[in-house]
Amino acid sequence: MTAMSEDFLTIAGDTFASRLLIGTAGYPNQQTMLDSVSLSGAEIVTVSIRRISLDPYSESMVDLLGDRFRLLPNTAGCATVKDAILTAELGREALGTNWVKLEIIGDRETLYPDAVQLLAATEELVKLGFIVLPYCNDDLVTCLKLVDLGAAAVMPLGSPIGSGRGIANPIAIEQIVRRSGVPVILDAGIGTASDATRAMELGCAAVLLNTAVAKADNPRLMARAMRAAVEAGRHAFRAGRIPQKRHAEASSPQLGLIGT
Amino acid sequence: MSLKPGPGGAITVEVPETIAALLSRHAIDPGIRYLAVAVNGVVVRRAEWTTHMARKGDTIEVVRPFQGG
Amino acid sequence: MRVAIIGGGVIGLSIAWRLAQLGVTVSVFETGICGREASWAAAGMLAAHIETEPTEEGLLPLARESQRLWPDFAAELERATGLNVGYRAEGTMMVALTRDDAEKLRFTHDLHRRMDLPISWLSAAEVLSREPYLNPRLSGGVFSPLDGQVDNRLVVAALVKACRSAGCAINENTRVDRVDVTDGRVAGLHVQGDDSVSAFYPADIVVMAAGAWSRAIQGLPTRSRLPVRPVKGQMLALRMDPLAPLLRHVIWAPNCYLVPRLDGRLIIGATTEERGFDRSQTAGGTLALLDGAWRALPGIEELPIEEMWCGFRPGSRDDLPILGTTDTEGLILATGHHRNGILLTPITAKAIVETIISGTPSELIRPFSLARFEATVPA
Repeated sequence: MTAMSEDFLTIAGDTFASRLLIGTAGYPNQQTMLDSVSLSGAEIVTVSIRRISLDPYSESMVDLLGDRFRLLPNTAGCATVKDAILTAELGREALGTNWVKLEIIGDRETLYPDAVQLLAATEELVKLGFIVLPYCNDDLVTCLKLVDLGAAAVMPLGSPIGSGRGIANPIAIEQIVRRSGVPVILDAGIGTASDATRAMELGCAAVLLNTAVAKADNPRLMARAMRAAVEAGRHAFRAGRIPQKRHAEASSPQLGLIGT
Repeated sequence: MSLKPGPGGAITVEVPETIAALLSRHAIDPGIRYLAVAVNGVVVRRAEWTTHMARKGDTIEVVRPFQGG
Repeated sequence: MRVAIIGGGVIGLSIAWRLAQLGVTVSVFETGICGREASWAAAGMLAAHIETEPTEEGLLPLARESQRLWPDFAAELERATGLNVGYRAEGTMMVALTRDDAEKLRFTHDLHRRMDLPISWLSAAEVLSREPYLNPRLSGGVFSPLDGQVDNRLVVAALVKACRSAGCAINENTRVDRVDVTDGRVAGLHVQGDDSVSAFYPADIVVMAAGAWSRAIQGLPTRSRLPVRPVKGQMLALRMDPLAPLLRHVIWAPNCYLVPRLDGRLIIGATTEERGFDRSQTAGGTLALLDGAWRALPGIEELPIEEMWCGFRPGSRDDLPILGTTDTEGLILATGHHRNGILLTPITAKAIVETIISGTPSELIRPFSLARFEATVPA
């Protein structure tokens, strides 16, 4: 048990027991979101930075989440480096954290990241003292460049945001895991528990998901599933799986057979 | 400012006032947690809200963490 | 015993009527005119069965019980007032247009079956035989025989009349400034009429039935500050020929619902927007409703638009009602009905009156107490 409990996720010097990061968007109501986030076991929870609602009737999500989680602001909605930097700075001021999930979308239909802007923004933000977790394409070269610029992790997509199609290019993810030298957090496209397990079996350090839980028929149950899925995948990765073979190999011994 | 319009609307300044006064005028408690303010694209830290003056024509962003993935 | 009810919508009025019938002294306080907000904006669908969402399974027993009470409730209201409330129970249909819709409907139907609801699958031909003017290219549907509708605006009129006949005092254009709470128990209400004169109404029991405005009522201790917010809905009504209506059943289409009234009015709803109390009819909202309706019922092209309006559903943190007692003695909650206010009127009135008379929360409403939110008290 000791070996398992010492397997912490480390990002920028901070350690975490949970390898599941979860988002707060798209749930049917606040209570479902709060319960699902709790049940997921996640310690890092993503939020966006938005203009304050001036109506006194809405309950603020962040007040309800309280101090129970590490809130990670994202730069969702930013199309330029300038916007992303301002958002990161506002996030730092609002939450007292220098961590930022950097996302700069280059195409509205696919929501694929704009790699050029992403690299430029990462460079700037690292210089400004941020711990940058960039959401990026599943492209090894982009990931290596992000690492060179000082990103604390890389977050390649499995498939487009909200598509639920799982990991489109597992070999690419495996290469990124092998070569980048920083934690690789699979972010986007997870549809169900087995996708999250697969990501962990490929060697990812963690998984970030939102829609897979928020839009499931039963978000609370899916949150529990994802928690178990990430744990299962991580154990399997560390356990060293058997190779895949073309031919069968009997598992029961071939000696002492009745009738011989 | 192109922070994507969120649940809140834009905040305008008519007469010079401190950030704290501006917030109060919009029924935002300046003591509220998790709040951040930027004037003309530059973050103004909480400690300066009672001294920093906002002027007519300034672009103000008042933000809080919200739902996000 | 003196009871003060904050809010003159269907919830407040029905509770007042039932209490007055028992001889209790009761006054309703309404900021505007009774029943002109969510009660007026609603479409009056009674859809406990077909409208169940996966995260709202907890509501099903309450919803079904309330729907079971509706026919008698309607009949009693009609007897008491001589006014018809348009109760109809000829069943509702949910239809699928595209193949993606059909797959989604199969999913929903699986949920219905798991919950033992008497809802049956219909082929496209079967749907069209019951409603021949629906889009001929639709791909299937489900029929819920136990669901129906009531004319909520007629219900409001009947409830106001019934309340007055039974001896309730109804104070319209009267704002509740503050609930007076002393030593942990309610003492009464501070109110202000349109003459701007403040008055104090002493009461042993205060019922909070202020719908989307419930959170704003002052004077409640912090723990009782209600997690209720307005969930805006835009709607519109078209005018059909009552002698040759395009539709007879309540229909749930992929992007809207259609509620035909006997007088030829066709109600189309509704958007769901978190925009505070913004009352604007937007181009986007109207487009979404008309497009959704047209795809299901192409013949609406010819129909004149009769009315467009907005309402504010009272949505709680988990979208379920907030009913029953609180830590504050004498304070009873009857709010947070979200999109089920009309449906839940009879059971809410019954359960709240039982709670007031007996002093303990009625069994059916215990899962809906405010205490369920205690685990996540705002920082």
